[in-house]
Amino acid sequence: MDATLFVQLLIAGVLLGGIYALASIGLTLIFGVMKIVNFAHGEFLMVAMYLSFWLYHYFKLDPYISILIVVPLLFLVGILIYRLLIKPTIGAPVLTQIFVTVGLSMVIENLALLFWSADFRTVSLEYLQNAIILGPYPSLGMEEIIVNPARLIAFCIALFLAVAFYFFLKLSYTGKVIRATSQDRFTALLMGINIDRIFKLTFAIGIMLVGVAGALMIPIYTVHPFVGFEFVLVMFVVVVLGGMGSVVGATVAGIFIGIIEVFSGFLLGPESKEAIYFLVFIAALVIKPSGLFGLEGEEELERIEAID
Amino acid sequence: MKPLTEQLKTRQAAILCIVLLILVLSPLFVKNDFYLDGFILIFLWGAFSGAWNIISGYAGMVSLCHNAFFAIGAYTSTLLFLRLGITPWLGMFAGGILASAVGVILGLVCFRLRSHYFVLATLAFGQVSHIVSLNWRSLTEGAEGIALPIEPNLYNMTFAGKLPYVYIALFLFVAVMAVSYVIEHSRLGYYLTAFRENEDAARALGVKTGRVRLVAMAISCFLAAITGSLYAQYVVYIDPSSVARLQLSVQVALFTIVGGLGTVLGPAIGAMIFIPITIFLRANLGTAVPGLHMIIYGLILILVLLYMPKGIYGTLREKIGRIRATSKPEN
Amino acid sequence: MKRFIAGVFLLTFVCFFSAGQAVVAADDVWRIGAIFPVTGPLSKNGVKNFDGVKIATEMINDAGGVLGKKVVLVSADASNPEAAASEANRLITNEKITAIIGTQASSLSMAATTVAEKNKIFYIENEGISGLITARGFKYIFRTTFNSTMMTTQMVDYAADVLGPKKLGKKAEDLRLAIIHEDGGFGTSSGKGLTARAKARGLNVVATEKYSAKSADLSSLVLKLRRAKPDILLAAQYINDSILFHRQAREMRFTPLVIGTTAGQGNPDFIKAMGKDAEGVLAGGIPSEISVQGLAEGPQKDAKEFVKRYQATHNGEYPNPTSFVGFAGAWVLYQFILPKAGSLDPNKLREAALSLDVPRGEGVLNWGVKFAGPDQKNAGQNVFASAAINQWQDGEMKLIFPRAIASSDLK
Repeated sequence: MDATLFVQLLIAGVLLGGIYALASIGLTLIFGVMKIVNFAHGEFLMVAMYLSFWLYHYFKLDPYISILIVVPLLFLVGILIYRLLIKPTIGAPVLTQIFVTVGLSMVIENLALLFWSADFRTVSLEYLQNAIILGPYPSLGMEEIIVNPARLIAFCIALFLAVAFYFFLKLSYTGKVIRATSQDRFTALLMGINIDRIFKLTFAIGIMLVGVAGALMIPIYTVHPFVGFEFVLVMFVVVVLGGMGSVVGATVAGIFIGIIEVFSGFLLGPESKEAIYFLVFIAALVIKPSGLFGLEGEEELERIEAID
Repeated sequence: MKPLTEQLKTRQAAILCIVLLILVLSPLFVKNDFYLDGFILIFLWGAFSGAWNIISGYAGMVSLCHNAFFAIGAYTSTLLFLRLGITPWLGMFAGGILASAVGVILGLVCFRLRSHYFVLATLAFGQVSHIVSLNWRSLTEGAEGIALPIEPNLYNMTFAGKLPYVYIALFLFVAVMAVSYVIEHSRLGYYLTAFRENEDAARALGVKTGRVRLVAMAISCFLAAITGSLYAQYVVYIDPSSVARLQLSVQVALFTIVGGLGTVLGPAIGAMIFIPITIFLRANLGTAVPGLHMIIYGLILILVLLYMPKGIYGTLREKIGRIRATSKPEN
Repeated sequence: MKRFIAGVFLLTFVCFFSAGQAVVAADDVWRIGAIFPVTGPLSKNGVKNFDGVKIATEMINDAGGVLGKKVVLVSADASNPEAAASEANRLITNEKITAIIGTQASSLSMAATTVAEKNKIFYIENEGISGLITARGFKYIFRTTFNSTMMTTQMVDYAADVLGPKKLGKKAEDLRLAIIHEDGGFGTSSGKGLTARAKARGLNVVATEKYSAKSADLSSLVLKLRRAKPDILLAAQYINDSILFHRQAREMRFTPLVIGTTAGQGNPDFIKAMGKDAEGVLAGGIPSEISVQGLAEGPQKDAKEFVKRYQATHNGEYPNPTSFVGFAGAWVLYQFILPKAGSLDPNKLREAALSLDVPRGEGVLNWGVKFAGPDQKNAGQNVFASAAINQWQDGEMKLIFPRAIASSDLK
């Protein structure tokens, strides 16, 4: 394998990872703060992709601009779903939480099928058609390296969001409150924090973030009612690998998984690449379940008492 | 005058016998193949759900990879039959043992993980199994699937009519429930309940939680695989998309949760509710409203979990328990 | 509470038993079963395939029906193989159906046709191409369309004999071929067929790759192929992965000549997503045009009528190939088999089917009808069906091979 090929694979992997990270940032917040395995997360991605598509289809609205519409909309959807479905399950056994979201994903998927049919839709933007070419760099022995602009944009926004949320969680008051709730719910309650409000906010932010991902992904991928399921599995891998609750962790893990996927696809064969990262996932769970950036022992936290 | 509890037990046993008798005899009177097919599906899915219930309900380790064990059962008995001529009657036990072994290994590796991490690990494992079944072409023929020959005779475990299948499925169904019952009332069951309710306390009391769960896992996987073998014999065509997909696990989880997780009759009730509804909705709405039955399932699942988390039978049992507790004391 | 439980049980048993109520078989219509995936992940093509069958039914009824009796379709939804088997059972047992047309996808077909054969019910498979469907020596299963071997043979031969020489100036033995396929039933059987034919012809296959149609990224596949430097890529893909693949391939400057299939590159959505990048891409499989050249007058009229009716109900869109093939399958039943059989008795239908010898050009899609006999290896296969090669030219899908029916030439 020569230098060009290696760098090309690396870039492809990093950019793919950026997409995974982008889709997973919201999930890791929800998982980390509320300890909820949101199986429906992929469905919200799908809904966001459809929204961007319809806005483009009917109003010729560029997906990068329709983010401004999709984001607040999904934020509200997040609040609604939280009130209706998530709040009643806080404090319930893990099984209940998981399967309520499973049930939700079944409903959303099939509503999408019912209303929007199974056709595949995608958006092709003119200005994204030309790849960005780096190089050639004869001095390094490398020929042209090709970078997909839409993926690059998604990657940059993923990084931006990761950094933004890192500082938000670290420095702002709300951020600290969220972290406190995530670390020790009971004590946070004792300190006068309104857990319900924090959960509502976190969940809504989580859904909103996956909305951003959806809008950025529609120029790259085709959307259909079942695309959510295809992404949700890798999203969980990324979240757990990165450490639940850690936005930085999700980003790093996302990129890591992207690189693994591309390299194993090239070296071992495209049919096995998904299996490889699942195996990596299981291995990571066994070795360090709290993930790369998670707090040690975090995975041990069991049932949490109800909040009201 | 016998104590109330014993009276109730004898009455329960009597009811059970009557119900069993009805179950066993009624297929003989049903001439309509369509209903027989429905019965077979109910018993098959009831058995699969019951098997799932053993590890996920009784042991509290929710698994989303039971599709893998179902597939192991289906493929093992089928391949042993096609390649080596071994009758599926024996092949299915081989499949069961293989599935148990795989399940135990999975348990050894993953049981240390708590609740949602364990679920995710099983999810990943299930996906890996699906991919393996697609790619290990020399073994499984990959996505093209394997068709069993249709030569009805006892050795092949293939029959011309539906009635024999009904009885085999019924037998499996009852067997799974019997196993669940025995587990529930045995020491294994108590250990599992102890683990489920409070793992640390159970350990402190000397319960070998690891070993106990592995036993439950072995039993659960064994039965799931047998169900898979039976499915293969009935549908006579298997491929990864029909026997190894994730939706199978979600389906049995759905049936069991709605029926009553961790109870003997829960999975059976779940199957008895959902299969007829599926068939009915498909028959009457199928082409008109795409996806409607899935939407209904999702809603039922959500509603049951929010308002009747113990499932139909579980909630029922609780209420009856409460009634009993407040009823007249025995003479 | 107890009442609620009892109510639920009552409801479900009522549902169950009412689903089973047999319909009174009316004597003055032909009741034919139709099993298609109209819900679930396969419904995208399932619905279109069924549309073709429905239009055929309307057309024949408007023309007075078959032997004076109208055709009534009794439809069933089969979103997965288990549902396909179950619905087949329901149609046979409850609806007293004795002839079924289906199923669009091979995995569904395998399940449904097994039930049909067991119950000695006549079954027409109109689109599923897996070789297995007609390789089991079944007596009542007939496939009107080509099978995957026929399609893949056509694709390889075209690449070696026409595409290579004409576009690249290379002889067959100098060509570098690459084969890729998605890992489902369709992709796998097509991949096998492509590989086998290439091997049989002694062609140089420099890369063979398989991947999951659900992949989020195909860059590793593209890079692997690019390294092998093939001249022609033979691809068995579905629409969304073919779009992803072509997009990423174009980016990575990997632009071999591509012969795809109807399911992927031949799908009308391909041009919607790829725009001018679809230009020149070929797709083997179902003819993209209900060719009027080379067709006898009767079938020509029928084909035009079909297009008209399709456009009327689909916003003026030109028919999707999967609808064509649905139409073709139903038309074979209505025009040739049923009139000859005179009844819906499976044995009569079977006899009628086996006796057919309609030459090419007399059937829709330019296919003749001649089913392989029970003593042959692929019993039930229509040997006069043939795959075509199509190409995107100026934003339209043109039929370019076989030459006798082609509307355009290779560009």
